[in-house]
Amino acid sequence: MFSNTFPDRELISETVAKMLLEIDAVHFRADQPFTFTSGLASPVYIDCRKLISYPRIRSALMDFAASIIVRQVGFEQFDAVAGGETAGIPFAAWLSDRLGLPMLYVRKKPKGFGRDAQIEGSLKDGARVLLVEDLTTDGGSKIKFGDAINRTGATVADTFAVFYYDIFPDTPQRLAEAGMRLHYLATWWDILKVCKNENRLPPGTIAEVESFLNDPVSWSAGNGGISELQR
Amino acid sequence: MFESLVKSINEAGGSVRAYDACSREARTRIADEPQNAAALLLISYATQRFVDSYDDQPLTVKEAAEELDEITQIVGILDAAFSDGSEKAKLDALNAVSARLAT
Repeated sequence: MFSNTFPDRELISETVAKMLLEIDAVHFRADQPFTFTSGLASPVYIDCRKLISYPRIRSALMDFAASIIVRQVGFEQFDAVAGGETAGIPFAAWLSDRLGLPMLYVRKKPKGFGRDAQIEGSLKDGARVLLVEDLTTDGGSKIKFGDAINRTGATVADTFAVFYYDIFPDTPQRLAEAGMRLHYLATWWDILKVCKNENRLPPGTIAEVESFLNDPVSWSAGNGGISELQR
Repeated sequence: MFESLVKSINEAGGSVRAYDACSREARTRIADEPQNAAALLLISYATQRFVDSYDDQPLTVKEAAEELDEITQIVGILDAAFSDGSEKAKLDALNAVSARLAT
């Protein structure tokens, strides 16, 4: 169980941003941009999977996560925690432990047969499930995982990600239309703030990253990526 | 014949989602085009391989362009043979692409 302390939200986000920078999970590369799953070109990339190798950091992160979930949703609002394959699985395991709840995971594709073909673990009809992934970009994968859980007769009204890109204004609305509220620990804006305050990056790189965060589609179009998001 | 499959990937910036859609479309077309089944299956396999390799993984724009060039060449070989080629040309194309995908 978590320590039942409730740090200030801003302090959580700043600390998580510093943790991600400390373990080199944040990559900046404007001259050799990354391509996201959507085809969007980006000068930044974050690898939350690295977190699993740092026990002290991941332990603090899960305490933060538990505090945010119980503060924003409640103590008795979930019957299970589900991890999205693959990166969401370890975080779901640790968070379910913190919250004292059963854990399961959702496959990207069905395996076997029946309405539970995408689910591994025991899930009761009508169970209220917290869906967990490592990060959220446009919310697309969460909607797919949520649909898979909903098909079993359970419901997903809340989803948690360690990191939220917060660069597509319609992401919360998309998730809301799918019946989900998004909870997270930090965003690119928190990373940028720490980088600026601590002079971690050259001004040119900061400007490039800021340009992308403010208008990702235009930056992508000018750097070899898509010029229109397809949903 | 098969070029439209690659065109859709190109238009979507070589995204993982576009490869996934292409893989599914190629498999779907097999039912309507049994004479092209082997070629479509190879295209589906090649594009699905990309999805399996890069879903949720970082990929630079340069690498994405190289991967797109590779799939364009593969589809081009099959398209040329299956559009108006002899049975031997089709078999040669299938073998050439299979060998390429096996490396």
